[in-house]
Parts: sequence; structure tokens; C-alpha cells
Amino acid sequence: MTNNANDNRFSTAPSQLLIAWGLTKYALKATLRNRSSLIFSLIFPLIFVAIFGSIGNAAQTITFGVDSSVSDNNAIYQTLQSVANQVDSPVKIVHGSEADLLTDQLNQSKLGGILEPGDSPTSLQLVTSTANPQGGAAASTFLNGIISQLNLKAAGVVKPTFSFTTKDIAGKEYRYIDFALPGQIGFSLISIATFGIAFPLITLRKTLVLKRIFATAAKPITFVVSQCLARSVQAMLQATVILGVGIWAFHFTLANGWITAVEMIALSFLAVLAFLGFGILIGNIARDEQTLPIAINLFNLPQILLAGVFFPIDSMPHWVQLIGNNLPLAYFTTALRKVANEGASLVTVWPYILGMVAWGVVAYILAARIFKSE
Amino acid sequence: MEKTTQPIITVNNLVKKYGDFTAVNDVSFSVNEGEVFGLLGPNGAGKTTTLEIIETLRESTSGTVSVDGIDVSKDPQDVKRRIGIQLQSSGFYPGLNLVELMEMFALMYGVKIDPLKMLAEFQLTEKAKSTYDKMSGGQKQRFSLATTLINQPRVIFLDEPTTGLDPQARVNLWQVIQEIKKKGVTVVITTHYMDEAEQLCDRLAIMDHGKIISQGSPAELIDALLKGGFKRHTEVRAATLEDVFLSLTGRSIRE
Repeated sequence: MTNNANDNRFSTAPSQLLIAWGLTKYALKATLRNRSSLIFSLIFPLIFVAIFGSIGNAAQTITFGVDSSVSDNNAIYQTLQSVANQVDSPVKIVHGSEADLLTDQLNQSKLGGILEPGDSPTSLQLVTSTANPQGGAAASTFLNGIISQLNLKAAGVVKPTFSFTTKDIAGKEYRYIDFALPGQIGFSLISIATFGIAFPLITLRKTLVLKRIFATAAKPITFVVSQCLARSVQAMLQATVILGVGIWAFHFTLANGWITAVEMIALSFLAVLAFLGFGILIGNIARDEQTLPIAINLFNLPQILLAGVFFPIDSMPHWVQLIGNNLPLAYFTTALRKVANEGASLVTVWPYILGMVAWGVVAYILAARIFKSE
Repeated sequence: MEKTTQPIITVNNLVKKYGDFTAVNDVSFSVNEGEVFGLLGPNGAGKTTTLEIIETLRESTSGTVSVDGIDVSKDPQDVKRRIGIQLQSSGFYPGLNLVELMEMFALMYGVKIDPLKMLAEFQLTEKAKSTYDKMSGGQKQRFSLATTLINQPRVIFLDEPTTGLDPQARVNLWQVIQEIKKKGVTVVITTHYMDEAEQLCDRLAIMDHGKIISQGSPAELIDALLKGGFKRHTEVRAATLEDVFLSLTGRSIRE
């Protein structure tokens, strides 16, 4: 008969969970196939990591200019030379015969100080410049350390009464890359979470793909969840690549080794899920592809500038800090730095995770309210 | 082939208002099981809105619609599982090939299919690994039609399926639609081409300004017009220009 309301073929609804899982796989497949967009979304964070990685290394060295009249037999100079000859040494030595040339370099802050012969064969004179007080201070401190050791040795003291070890400090040196890399992961995540979902959403809506999908047994929420999951996995892969390049090429410091790396990736996954709420929201506010980049930049740029991506939030005026510290991205970059640099666990950074989740919940609720399928 | 004249779709006093504008104004009709039913009318007549309410994609302002015995407003999810839909000029998820798209639809209906077998039925075997955007207009429409059948629906809805196709592709698509009808699937179709409606439709309704102004079989509607004393301005010839075109360029599809 015609009334087929009890027709077995149609009576059971398919599991939305299974549909979401399957759709996630198809979305990932389509994403990973699009090589050019994958490379495009990685290229800027990687370039920035490369630049900041190099800055970090340069700032770490102390360069001494050594006048050619300094005797090779001078004990202080010999010790300095042996330190400079070590692999990855923080000390560099530049030799110069013409004093003027060295002085020029000193005034250009290329040198921390110049060593000239002292009053006796066992002393040296350190010339520093007011143009480079930090460099001068670093050179002077370093030289002091060498001289103390030499003095103790000369006095025959094998076990000095007062001593300290610098082992721990050397193990956790904080370089600019350690600050910059978590910021770049944040930069990459917020880009995927906005550009990576809002553009496809508008295209899918315009080409009626959304409408066609919602005409099947798949519910809109199921489809949206699958798209968010696919983007989150993509973001996790990108964070892993950035972290990998940072560790391999620029010796990014992981406070607790590979556990820190795993925690950083997990935190990235959570963050991108939260940020995606904004991507979907923006994709529904913007009417077309022309207005979308403006809307996305209105959301992204303040965060990239104020939320500690390139510059520390602490270095900003108080009222800017108040805004900056509470942006969604700031919760992430701060938490990520605590995990990466200080060795905090995901549990101890819970206030920041809560902040991210709260922003995310607000975004998803607003997005659900204005969600358009066509 | 008309085994039964029981309605599979019943629309009663359907109204759809957008503010002050009444897009669908008290429309009633029924579609019999196994027939090809045409919904004709100029642009803005309310055809697509009517279809989309039956397809559960829009909510009605008032009136009742039942599909395969299910009230559309009460259980839209159930109705969705019983029908197949081809939207006017809809696209498909980018970056996936035809086989993957078919499997994706099967997933969304919770059914198992043999994508290659289905593609073969629609002469798309050699396109199995290409993406939707790399196909010709006729291939796109055939694929779109194939996706409407994935859940083995009781009714399929085709919104202007031949718009923009060349005559060969159009004739080819008519054959495909007739094949689908032979399998017992009810077809509801909208079109702007009257020759198409005459060729394909068992019965049709003509809509204008949100109302159905006439319905019946093509022959009945023509007879009714002639009874009113209608005469064609031009002499009726035994062939049309389309016949000339097809006899010169052949009926085989070009892709």
C-alpha cells in the first residue's frame, strides 16, 4: 500500500555520531589534498619562526674585541680564548690591529668590549662604550668570572668557601625564540580558525552545498561539528610542524622534554576548537567573500598585535594590557608559554583554559543563533 | 505502468508568507505513486517554495503536507530519509571525487551503496575519479540526479534539471528520468520547457502568483484549451526546429 510509514528501510534514523565521524574524515581528506592552501597557511608562521629564531641566537653572544698588542701568554686572554673555542660558545673574539677599527665596532654595539694590555702581564684593560651599556655589562661580568677563577687558582684554593653553580641557569636559558614560537603557533591557529572555516562556509552556502547536505539525514550541527574537528586536526598538525621546526632548527626549549611538546599540541587542539566558534560566527555575519577578509581582520589583527604574539603583553601600557590579557588568543599564548617555558602542566594553567572555553562558548552560541544554511 | 493512483504526496491548503508577501497562496494538490508530476509556472510563481516545503527545507505558514504517509511538519527527519532532492544549480563538497561524494551521501543517509555501479547507470564510469567542477553541464546534472537515488527514495524532486543543457544532453536526461520512473520512483519536476513537460509528465500543475491555476494530464490541459476555441497563429508543422537540430547533429551526447 502507499502508506509506508512503517517501511523498515526508512524507519531508523542513522547515528549522527557516525555521520560526524565520517564527515570529519572526508573534510580532512579534501583539506590534505589541497597542498597549496596547506603550504600557504604554514608559510608565514614558519618565516616568522625562522626570523625570530635567528634574532634569539644573535642576542645571546658576547663579542670581545682583542687588540693585537695583547700578549698571547696572558692567562686571562688564554682562558677567554679557550671558552670561545668551545662549540656553541656564547663568547666570540674579534681580533684587530687598528684600535680605531675596534672602537668603531664598539660604538656600533657590535662588540661588548675591547681588551687592551693592562698595567702588568697578568692584567688586562676592558674598554666599554656608553653606546652599548648592556654589552659592556655582559662583557665585564663574564670577564669578572674568569678572573675570580684564575685568582682562586693562583691562591691555591681548590675548594673555595663561597661558591655557586650555574648549571640550572644554563639549562633553561630563555631566548627570544622561546617567547616567539608559542606566539607563532597562536598566530597560525587563529588563522586556520577564521580563514580556514569562514571562507569554506560562505562558498558552501553560496553553491547550495549546505542546503543539499541539510536535505539528507545529516543534521546541521553534525556537519558543523565535523568541519570544526577537521580544522582542529589540521591546526594540530600545523602546530606540530611549527614546533618541530622550532626544536630542530632553532633549539626551542621544551621545559620537560617531549611531555611538554604533547601538552602544547593538546592545548593547541583545545584553543583552535574555541577559536573556530568565532570563525563560524564571522562566516555567518559576513555576506560574501568580499566583506569576509575585512570582518576576519577586525577580529584577528587586534589579537595578533595585543595578545602577545609578537610582543610581550607586559611591555604595553596598563590599559592596553587590560584588554590584551583578556583576548581569546592571549589566554592561549600565555598558557602555552607557561607550559613550554616554565614547565606548567595543563592542570595548572586551568584559568587560561577556562578563559578560552568561555570565549568559545559565547562564540558558538552566537554562531548557532545566526547560522544561515543558504 | 500505472498500477496505482494512490497519492504519495498530499498538499492541502498550503500557505507560505514572507511578511506581507504571500509566496504560496492556498495550494492543494496530490502526486500519485509512480508518476512523473510536473510543477510549471513563470519565475516567482512559487514553485520552488512549494517544493522546498514538501522537501522539509522550509516551514509552511499554514496548511498540511504529507509525504509517503508522514506529516512533513511533524517528522521532517523521517521525510528526509524517504525522498531525494536535486536543487536548482547546487554544487558539491569541493576537493572530493565522484566516488567519494557518493560515499559521503551514503554516509549521511546511513546506507551502503556501490558507487561505481551507480555511476555506471548514469554513464559516469570514466568520471569516477574526477571532481564535480571538472565535468560538463550534462554530466553534472546526471551526477546530481544519481545522488538523489542514493537512499533508494520513494520520491525524488528535480528543480529545473535541464536548464542550461544542450539539446543532446537534455534528451539524454529525459531518458534517464524515464528509467528512474520505470523503477517505481515517483518524480516531481519543475521546468520552464513545455516540450519537456509534455514529454515527461503524466500529470502537471501550473502555478502563477502563488496559486495553482490549472492541473491535469498534458493531453487534458491541451484539450481544455482547444475546447475554448484556441487556435495557433502559425501553421503546425510535422517537425520542430529541435528535430532539425537533433537530426543534423545527432542524438548522442557530447562531453
